[in-house]
Amino acid sequence: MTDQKRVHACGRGAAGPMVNRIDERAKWIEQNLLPNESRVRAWLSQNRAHGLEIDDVVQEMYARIGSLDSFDEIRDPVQYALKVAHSILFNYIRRTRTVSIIAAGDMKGFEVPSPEASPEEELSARDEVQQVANALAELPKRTRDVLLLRRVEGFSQRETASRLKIAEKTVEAHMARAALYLTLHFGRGGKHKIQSSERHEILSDDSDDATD
Amino acid sequence: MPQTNEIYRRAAEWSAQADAEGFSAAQQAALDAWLGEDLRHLGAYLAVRAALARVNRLGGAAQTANREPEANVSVLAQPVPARRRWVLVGSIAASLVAVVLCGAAWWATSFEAVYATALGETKVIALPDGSQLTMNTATSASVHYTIIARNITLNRGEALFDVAKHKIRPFVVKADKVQVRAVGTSFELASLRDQPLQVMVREGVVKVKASAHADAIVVSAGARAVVGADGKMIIEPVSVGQIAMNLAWRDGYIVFRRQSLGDAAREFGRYNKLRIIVDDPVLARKAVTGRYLATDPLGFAKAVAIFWNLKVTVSQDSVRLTRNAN
Repeated sequence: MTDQKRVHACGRGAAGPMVNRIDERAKWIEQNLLPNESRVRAWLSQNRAHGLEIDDVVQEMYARIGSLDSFDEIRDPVQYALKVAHSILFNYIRRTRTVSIIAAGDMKGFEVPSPEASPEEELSARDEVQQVANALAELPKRTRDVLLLRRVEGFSQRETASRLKIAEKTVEAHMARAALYLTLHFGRGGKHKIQSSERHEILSDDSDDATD
Repeated sequence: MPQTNEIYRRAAEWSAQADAEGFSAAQQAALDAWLGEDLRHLGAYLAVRAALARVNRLGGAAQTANREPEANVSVLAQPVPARRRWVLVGSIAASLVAVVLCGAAWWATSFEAVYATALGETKVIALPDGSQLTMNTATSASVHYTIIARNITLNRGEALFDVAKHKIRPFVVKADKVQVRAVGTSFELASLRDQPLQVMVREGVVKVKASAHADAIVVSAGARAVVGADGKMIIEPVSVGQIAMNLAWRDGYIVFRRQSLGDAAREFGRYNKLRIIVDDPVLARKAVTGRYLATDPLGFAKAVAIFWNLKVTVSQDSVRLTRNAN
């Protein structure tokens, strides 16, 4: 371990333009798509095709929206996300000739859902903060400490490791599982949506206090 | 039970690696290859980076919230300046009881104050009658309460009025020549430079007069009255979603739904010294969507630049968006 200090917050190493581009897009996605993911998931759980997981559709939806090169088509992010999810599901059904739609019955339940029917429920700033607070509280202490040092305090991986007296690789492992847990937590719309077995699977491993 | 999706797990590992020092060009190439392999890889990676971006943005506030579960929101409720005035009751002919009663009532209800917000600032003000005044950026309002009336003048800017019901004391807001009269209701009034005056009703009913001598037009919840410089009034419906969007400023956000970039840049100008400049008229007409921090014009400019592959030139007091030469 070294004491070398880096001025750079969140040292990104030799990250290329692709990753930078992704991070800029991720900021837009954080405010416009991530808060609405749970609504897309709710719709998808009512409209399923055999052999296609909800996660598959959601991931593809992120990729499609994340690689758009204009906003022109997006009037309302929720509406747009639902439209993209609908088209992914529909294309899958057409391509594979799957007929088993676990929906309210027939194709009528398979129309593009309209968020106009239910008013836009954007989280207030206070709810947003509370959601992040809840997610942080669910993390094991060491994982949370690592995450906060890296992402809130802006320490590099090396600095974080030396402050907590753990190996850099351990910091990396904590960051990976914090990221995984938060992605699922936020994507599913907050607390109690992650089953305890899954939580256990993500958050408990033996690297907790390993120091290499 | 389904196991945690393997692609999310992989994406989270890549994310942690990419943030470490010494992430090599070879590793970068391997990440790029992985991202290019399957749309789901790219999507999962974007989701992971978005989740971490959320911690960057809100982690500090969340930490405070966890520490003090009760005091996690700071409502900027200013103490009400106590400038109540005694008014001389001149008539001795009036019965003493009446004088005392009126005097007490007058003292309890007469109130005057001027409130203002700076650029980028919002304020929530609790008024003595239980009404609430929420002020957006660069706004000034004068409050003048008497025993028979509650008068407010919106000198400039934008404010939301949540009006406490009172049978005999009408709540009247004036902005320029326009008068809005409410009993118990919630409405927003925007009086911005070079723009028609707007009254948006969230709850209840208000009566809008385009000028002192014009007829009062009833505008109810879910509608908006727009009064042009010529004094003509148009009433149009607004959806609940639109109302929420228009009031996003209370949480510090600006929400666009296919607004032109030119209008969006102007909107940011209401909140910030840093100007967003878009000289290219074709660019200025392109549509912008999304939710942005009102006080981060640079962040907005960068997000737009990424979408359209634009060049961002930052100077001390402006950020200029231009098309890339290539």
